Amino acid sequence: MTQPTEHETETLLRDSLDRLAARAPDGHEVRNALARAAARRPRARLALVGAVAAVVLIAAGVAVGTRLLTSPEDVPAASPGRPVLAWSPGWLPDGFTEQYRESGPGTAPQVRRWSAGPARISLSAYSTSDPEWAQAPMRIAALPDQVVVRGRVGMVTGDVGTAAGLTWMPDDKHVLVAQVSGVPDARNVAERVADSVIARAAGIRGELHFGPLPAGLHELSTIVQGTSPGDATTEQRAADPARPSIPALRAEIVANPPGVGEAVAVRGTSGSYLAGEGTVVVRLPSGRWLAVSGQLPKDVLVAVADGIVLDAAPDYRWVGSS
Amino acid sequence: MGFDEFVADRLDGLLRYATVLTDDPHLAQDIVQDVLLRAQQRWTKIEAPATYVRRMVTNEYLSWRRRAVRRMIPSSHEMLDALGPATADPATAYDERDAMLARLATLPRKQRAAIVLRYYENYTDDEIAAVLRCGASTVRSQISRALATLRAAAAPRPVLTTGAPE
Repeated sequence: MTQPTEHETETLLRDSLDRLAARAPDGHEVRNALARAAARRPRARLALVGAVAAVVLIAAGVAVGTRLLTSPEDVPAASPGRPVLAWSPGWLPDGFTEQYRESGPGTAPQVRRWSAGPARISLSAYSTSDPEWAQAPMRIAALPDQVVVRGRVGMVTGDVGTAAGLTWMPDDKHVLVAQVSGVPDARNVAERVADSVIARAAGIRGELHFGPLPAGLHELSTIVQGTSPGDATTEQRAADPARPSIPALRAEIVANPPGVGEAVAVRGTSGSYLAGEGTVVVRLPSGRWLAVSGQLPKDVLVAVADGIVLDAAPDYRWVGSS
Repeated sequence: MGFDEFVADRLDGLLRYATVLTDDPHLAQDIVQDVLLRAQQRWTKIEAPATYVRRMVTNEYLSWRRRAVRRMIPSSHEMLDALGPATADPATAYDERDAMLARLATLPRKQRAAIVLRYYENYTDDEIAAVLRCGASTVRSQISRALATLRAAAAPRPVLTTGAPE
């Protein structure tokens, strides 16, 4: 086999980039965010008129923000210990430790990831009730590069030596994806990982859970990640059901504050609003920091932060373990 | 050109550029949105908006450290997108482009940015140098090294037809 010529490489490169460009989002979200920002600007100028006017304005903003929130009955209750993934690999290459788990309600993807330096192995589960994955059997059948995983047909994609993905269906309702990168002979590693996967659930219990969410947003996922229990963090995301893959709101607890901004009252104490990042941050009694961010009005972010339910006993024991 | 007119005219192109640059539509959207929100606040002071915004998007990509480590790359969507109809030749073409995109993902960010500006935006060396804030010779060197990496990693492999016995 010979190396492709420079012309062939350039042609393939242009084709590949054009194909990637076709995946660009449609701009709807960005236009909405710009429109919201433009609508907020005059109100910010009004705040300079005087202290009395500012107080009235803030009070009005809080009222609007409160109305934008759904009632507590409309959102899922905190459910620490929710299974993150019904499957676990029975084998991984030496040196890999688990550093990421992501789970969500309904048909949200469930992801576990192990790392060893820059090398990564992930195992993701999807439901065939998710329209995006409903056609998985036909897609697997259509791809030329097929393998057999525990007696069922799977497909290999993106096999470039040090990276490969393997997709298969352990039953008729779920699709599993083993993704390997930064590992020599990644295809064989992915196949060995997939062959070792068994039905063994792993849980996720982080430090926080959303309370009432702004109207139109629903809980998307909870993410716990870190390299050890000592540096583990929890993040929860919410999204518009019409665009579930794009988080519109994030809440996380971190060791250090992301910055300092305008003083705001949050959770009964003094917090901070970072206008540039659209983030409200407040120090918790534990000494860690709660940050709520999204392209939403400040008062709505504050209301979300006020409603966050804290869990004093997160389970970070698995973080950094093999 | 006013800000609204600029957005109406250029947003889709910016999102495509950012998607090609980042290899992640969601990250691309975040970056473009952040850049435009900042540009919106000081629009009247920006002399060459198109150049300014594109440079800002590129800079955000090159310096995107904090959010990059927080983000899970959505391989599932790419995997689905990689699948073509059940015909032999198109599937093979899809595999080659998918493999090329995987190799592109291994490049250092600055090399990737130079490649994208050259082969997607069709910029000249000088134009790329202006965006990346470096010399034209550095641009040529970055592109040369990137192409060498992409060519060296391109090892054609045989494609098995579905159901065909070996």
